[in-house]
Amino acid sequence: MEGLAHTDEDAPVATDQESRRLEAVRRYAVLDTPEDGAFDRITALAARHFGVPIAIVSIVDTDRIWFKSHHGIDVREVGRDPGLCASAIMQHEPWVVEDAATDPRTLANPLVAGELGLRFYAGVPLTTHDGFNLGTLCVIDQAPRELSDDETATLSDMAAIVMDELELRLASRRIVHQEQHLRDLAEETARSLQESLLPPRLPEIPGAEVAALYVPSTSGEVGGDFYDVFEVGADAWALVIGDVSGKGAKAAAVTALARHTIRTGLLATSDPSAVLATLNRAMFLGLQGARPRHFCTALVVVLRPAARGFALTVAAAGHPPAIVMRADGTAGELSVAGGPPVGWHADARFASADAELRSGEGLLLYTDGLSEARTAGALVGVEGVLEVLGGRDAGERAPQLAERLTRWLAAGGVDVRDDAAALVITAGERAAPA
Amino acid sequence: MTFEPEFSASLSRDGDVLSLRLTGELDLATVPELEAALPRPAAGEVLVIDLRNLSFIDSTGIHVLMGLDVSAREQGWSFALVRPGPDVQRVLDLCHVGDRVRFVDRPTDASPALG
Repeated sequence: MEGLAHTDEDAPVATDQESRRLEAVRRYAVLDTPEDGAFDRITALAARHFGVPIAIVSIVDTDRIWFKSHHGIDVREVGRDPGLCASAIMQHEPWVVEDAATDPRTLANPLVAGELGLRFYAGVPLTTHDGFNLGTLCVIDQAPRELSDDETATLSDMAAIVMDELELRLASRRIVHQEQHLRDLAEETARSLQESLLPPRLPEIPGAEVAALYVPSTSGEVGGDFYDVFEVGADAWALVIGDVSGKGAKAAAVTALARHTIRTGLLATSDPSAVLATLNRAMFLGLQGARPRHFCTALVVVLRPAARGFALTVAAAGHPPAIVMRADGTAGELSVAGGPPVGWHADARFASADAELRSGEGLLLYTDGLSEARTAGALVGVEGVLEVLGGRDAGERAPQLAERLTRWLAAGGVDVRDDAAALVITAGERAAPA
Repeated sequence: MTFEPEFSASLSRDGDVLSLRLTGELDLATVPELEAALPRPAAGEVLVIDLRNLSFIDSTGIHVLMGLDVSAREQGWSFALVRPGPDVQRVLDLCHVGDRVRFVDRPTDASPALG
């Protein structure tokens, strides 16, 4: 038998055991949560079964006893000092007071001696799987009564149901947290992966300005779009844009392969079609067993300074043609011969074509995420992109054009379903090369 | 706003020729419906995808067609497309699909005897 007066035995003692119990209470995160049908049904059932007016699911906090469910009494919490539940959780057996007015453990208790006039109390601790008592399921009456062994067993079973419910909730909270953690981790990985696929900054091309934009898809997955701008030898530069089919980490790995193969290839040859053929072999051979098969469309432009701007060599692999913005404010597609998307079949052939970018003109390389964006459900289309870029005044250079596109994409109603990337270059006035 | 794309795929069989007729827009949003509707032809059979009523195709849609060409060659069945309208044809041409996949005017033209 523990102390005679309840106030002695259940005063919150800052023992190790009690602080660990309180940790368990915190872990189940039930304190101060809204009222809830599952627990209310159990207290209603207990009150009806035992024929008592009051049934409570209580949780014993540091200095209060909080009621998760309180059938028949309009109180949400009581102080821990007079609370009988605080006594009940001190043992692992049901704690039964058949007549509190005569029971030495309770007769001085204000809940018994005072207005409430509590006479009968039976509480079963809510014991966690690791042995901590969080609170009780208790039934209370204002008249004394007895509790048979069978009834005690029934009350214990009901308490076990309450505890099962609490364990279930803890488990699902854990799963939700774990999932959130995994999602955060995946998003973080996706972001770093995506960043590694795009050059950190664009190099300077004398006599031209270059700007890029990238819009991730609304799904948040890593997309397969990439772009690159780099020097390929004395006074020659490459602009590359591409789109690998599929999404996620596998597509990102293929995207890295494509980007680096094109970079390395252009060190050996400045013919874009030869580089696309190399990439095709690399992808076709390297990914033969991969399911689903990854394909890659790409547009490669090599620029060399010319008398009035730049001479271009262009090759496409199933990629939308670049858009030329002429000095007079009109815009149109730069049609070139090319070949199929890379990675499809081993004997694909690619062709390069020559073009020019004159001073005052601009060129847009883009992925189809841009032209396949939708406004109010309707496809933007190449026409829509041409419209956004048309009416350019001669002073508008690459950064302003990229900003114009970005603003347009950010404007309400433009839905970018796939990721979208674009590179813009404008040719300024420059001295003819020696 | 959400846009509900109109897309449907209906399959019919005539002897060894499986014909899948596509209607509406084939894009990122509707490709899963196409994939769910795709039959698994046996070796020697023909799968012909009828693109006459397709109003739009994006790169994800083209990738499915390219993947079918790869599977057909690996698994010994044949694959053909019924010629679409000019807008869809333009996207297929961009990917040089005609270099690799047979185009026919009607599903019945795709029977193995004629291929």
